[in-house]
Amino acid sequence: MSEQQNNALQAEKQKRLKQRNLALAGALILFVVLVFVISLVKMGGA
Amino acid sequence: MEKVRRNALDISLESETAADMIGAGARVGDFWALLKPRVMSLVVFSGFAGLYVAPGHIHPLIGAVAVLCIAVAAGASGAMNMWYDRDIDSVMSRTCGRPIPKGYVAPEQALAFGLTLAGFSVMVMALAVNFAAAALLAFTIFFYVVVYTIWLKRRTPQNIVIGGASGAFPPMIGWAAVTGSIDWASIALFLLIFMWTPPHFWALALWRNPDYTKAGVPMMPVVAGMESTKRQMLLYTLTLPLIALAPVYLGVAGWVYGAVSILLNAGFIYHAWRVLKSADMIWPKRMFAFSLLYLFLHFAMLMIDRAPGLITLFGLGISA
Repeated sequence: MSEQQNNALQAEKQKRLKQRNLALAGALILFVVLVFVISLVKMGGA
Repeated sequence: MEKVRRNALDISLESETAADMIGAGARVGDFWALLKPRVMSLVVFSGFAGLYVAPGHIHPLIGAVAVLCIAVAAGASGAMNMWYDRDIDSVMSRTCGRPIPKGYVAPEQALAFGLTLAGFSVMVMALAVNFAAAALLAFTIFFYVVVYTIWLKRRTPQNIVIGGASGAFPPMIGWAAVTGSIDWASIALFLLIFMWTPPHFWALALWRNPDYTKAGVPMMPVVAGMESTKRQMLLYTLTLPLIALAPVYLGVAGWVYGAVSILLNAGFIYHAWRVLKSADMIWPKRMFAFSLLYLFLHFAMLMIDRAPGLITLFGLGISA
């Protein structure tokens, strides 16, 4: 593999890793918010 | 030559780089594709319908969480199905573009993804909604992955007849989310999808017969032949009206649903009859498309019939 291809590959890997991390972070934040709101509803505070 | 990705990377699938990319290169969209979004949409719709028509009250947010759990569980089941079926998926033209056969997602990643989502969906359903709905949800995932995908699919032509139960549970889960129980009316909704599944899938299997034969999946047309399958499809569609109208006898639906159901069942029987009488694949394709409309409209009508103020709006004064 040429150096140019290797660089392109590394850049693509980094891009996808970042996208996956952002998606995971979003899912975790959503889950925390969901648990918080469910707790409020269950406790009758909504 | 087969490329590793649908992007600018020009790498052979067999190269070391390709193997490296599979381990670290799955995109978010590939994981989304593992969830079988199109299948999920029908599951969510029927689950929501069960929740909507069930007697009793549920907080709107808890109802939304229940539907979300059903959606996530359906997606998780889809991911685990793709993990197990990756060998036959790569052979069939309908499924060879899925993320695992394409090498976009590693099989173990798909399995881990499916198991995680399944665990979360059941846990949240139990904690936020109720244990009855969570138990049904867990059983549905088990039934689809273990009973249907692993056990029945490759062993018997009755695979989708029995395995179809997993697709029929969502309205029961939605119902249980509100009532915390299983009632006759929810069983009627289950039976509607259960009896609808064989003619729906066999219509697809008729025109995808070469695919299933190549993959060695014993679908009914592969094992029993085209004519026998077509006769069985007609038998199922002739039985369906009794089940489809059960929500009317049980007081869950009114005359709007009943009238539309009679028309839809007449249409379904007509399609099955045309499939039986035709040698080409036009009518099986039409029947497959009609079957989707059939189920969608049944659940839509069920909800419209129960919509507050609908009967008053039309000034008809008749309701279930």
